[in-house]
Amino acid sequence: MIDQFLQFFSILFDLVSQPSNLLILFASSFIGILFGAMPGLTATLGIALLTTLTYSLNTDTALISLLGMYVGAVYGGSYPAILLNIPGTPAAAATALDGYPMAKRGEGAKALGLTTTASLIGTLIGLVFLVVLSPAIATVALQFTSWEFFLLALFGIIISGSITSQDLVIKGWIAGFLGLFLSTIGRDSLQYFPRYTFEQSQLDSGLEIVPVLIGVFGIPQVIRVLSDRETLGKLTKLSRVLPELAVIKRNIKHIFRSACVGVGIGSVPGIGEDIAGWVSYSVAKKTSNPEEQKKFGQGAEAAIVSSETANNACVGGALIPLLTLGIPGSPPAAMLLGALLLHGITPGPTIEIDHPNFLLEVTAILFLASLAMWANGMLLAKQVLKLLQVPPPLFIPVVGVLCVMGAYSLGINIFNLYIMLPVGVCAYFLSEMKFPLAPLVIGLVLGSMADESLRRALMLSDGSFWPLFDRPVAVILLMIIVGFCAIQIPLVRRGSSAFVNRFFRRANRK
Amino acid sequence: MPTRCHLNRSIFRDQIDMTQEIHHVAEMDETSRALARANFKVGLVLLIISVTLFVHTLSFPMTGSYGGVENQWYVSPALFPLLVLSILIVLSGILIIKMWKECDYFNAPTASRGTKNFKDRKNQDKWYVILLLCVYVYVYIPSADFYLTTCLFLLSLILRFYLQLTGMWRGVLYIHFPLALTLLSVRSVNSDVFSWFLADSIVDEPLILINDLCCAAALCVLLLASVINLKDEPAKLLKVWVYSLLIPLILICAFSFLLYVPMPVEYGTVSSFLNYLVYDILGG
Repeated sequence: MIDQFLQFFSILFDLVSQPSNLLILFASSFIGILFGAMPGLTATLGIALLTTLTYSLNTDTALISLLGMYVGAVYGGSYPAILLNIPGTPAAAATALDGYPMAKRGEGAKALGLTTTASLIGTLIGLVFLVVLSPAIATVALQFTSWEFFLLALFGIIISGSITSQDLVIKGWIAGFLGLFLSTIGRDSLQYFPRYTFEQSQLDSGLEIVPVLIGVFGIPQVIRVLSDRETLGKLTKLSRVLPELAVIKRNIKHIFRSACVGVGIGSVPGIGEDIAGWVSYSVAKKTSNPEEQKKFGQGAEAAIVSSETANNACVGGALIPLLTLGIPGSPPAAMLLGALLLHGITPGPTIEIDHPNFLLEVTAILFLASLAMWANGMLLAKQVLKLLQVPPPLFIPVVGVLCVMGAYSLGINIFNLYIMLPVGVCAYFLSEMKFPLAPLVIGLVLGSMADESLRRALMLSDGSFWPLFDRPVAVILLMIIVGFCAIQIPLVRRGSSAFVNRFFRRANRK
Repeated sequence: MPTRCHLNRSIFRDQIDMTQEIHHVAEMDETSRALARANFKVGLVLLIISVTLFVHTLSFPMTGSYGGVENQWYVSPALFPLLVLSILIVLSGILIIKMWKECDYFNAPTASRGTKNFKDRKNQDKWYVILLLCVYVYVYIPSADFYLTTCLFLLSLILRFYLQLTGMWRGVLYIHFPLALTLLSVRSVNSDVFSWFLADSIVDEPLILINDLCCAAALCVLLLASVINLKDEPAKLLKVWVYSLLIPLILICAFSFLLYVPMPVEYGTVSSFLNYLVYDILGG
């Protein structure tokens, strides 16, 4: 343990001792805050575009900039949420409910001070969970066989499809399986047989993940923001942003609970910061006393603190399955996975064997990124507000060009653009019809793992499915998957709610 | 005591509120019905594509020998796609049935005039952006200088959505149709067939020069439109030019000379000039 601490501080010192690293960290964190603050731009898109710029950098520097951007963007969404009542990112939607009433009361700076400190604490708690849980999960995951990995991929799609769907769960599943199908394009890894390449040699290696992700997250935003012709309201005036430590101390119970909610939700595959923010908000409301409950929606400090702590704690949570199992916990983490793969790092249970101390390195970078985010938030809030006044029809076309340049520069291949655009346009239409895009991305990322694991498992068992039932983890995963699917059948749903009513509510009444 | 006039007024106000509420509910109902119809169509298209791909997948090696290896069904490259496609067929079938029940497909009422006008404008904007992106990616980028084409793309979007050109000047935004046709024709000069689709960018310098001149002419027309429309607002004009002319230049310089990413058309006029400036004049 002490060795690990020493190692952590040694890595931290190495990172800090290079001024270029610090400069990149602060710059990427500030750009991240801008990405989060600009309505229409998201953390995922920011990471996607930055990935292309970090292609030629070494892995450490690339990670510094990507994690700086990630943490900054998740926090940055709170600016327009508080000052304009427009969440900069979906993760800040719950913050707008109470942040904007505070800003209208002339307490915008106070609200921003609260979100900045709450976000810092949230990220740090997420980081602690990452350090404590990851080695244990990785040790367990080392015992996993191909069956478990196949079921984990399926579990990720089913869970993320079920939870991220806005109306029908089936739409989430369709998106997930579409992603799985897209991952089968290209030559298969076992027999090198060309699948759905239609004699296009550029498709032999399959769809490049990063251009496809840029298409999925960038192009729909460009089309949507321009065609909706959204105009921003007038910004409320801002005084000096202060850390608001006294208020933080008053809300410490909300902070710790929200951090746990954020980490928990972040570690479930494919479910991102937005859901963490909402769940934490509603839990905070439910657990507050009636007096406090009345203040929710009218500028309650507890509400802002809860949603912001949770969405930033989600960053650490999302990295747990990413680093230990190779399964991204949120859409930005999926993008981060693409970036890591580009730099020759394959996350999974063997990451500490392949790249010793990688986990500590990520922890140290995340620690620095959260400090950079806090410092930027305290010192440069007014500069962010100036840039927030640029109208979307001026900067969104530039984002479109960045998407094109980003997709092209990965591999310097025009064919990447030919893939990115149709994927992006399809993603736009799907999202307009309320199909969630996160399961599609999870499917695309996990598809090759699912395919290879299934066939490898069947090869080892000579085509028999029985060995699956000998493995407890596989059986639990299978039961969860079946349970999630079965609960969607009206008959099963009615039966289960009748069961709950009959036994649990009666027990409560007693 | 409320007077008769006051009572009448409050009843009238209640009636207005009720009518507004009915309209709102009807609009919501219409929106959800439209969404259900769209989902029905998506389900149908997905079903057709999935079935077609399923049939195509059946042609993959199943149990025979492939590449000298005796195959088993469980190592077949078709196994996973067949599994995924089967699930997709089932899911899209369920979606179709659900939506069929929900949207009453053939008896849906038509949209009200107000909503229709709004949707028309949104639809036009949406299709303008999509078509412009398609022309930019599939026609301009492989055919002409990246800087010129990017300026064209940016200026068109900024003129339409930031300046919101109206009347005669709005027609300028459709300059892309003749330009795209010209570029497609020019790049087909040396090929045997008229190539709508190019897997790589063109390398023939005279053809690139012709394409660049066409793009520059179109860019001049758009710049002229911006100058005439903003002659009383120089600050706004400057902003438009910074976003459409200066930012792409900065981006291209950053990608070309810091990240060493060659532009898609290497011998484009501006790219060649920048290379000459940086490497020959400045000796970078």
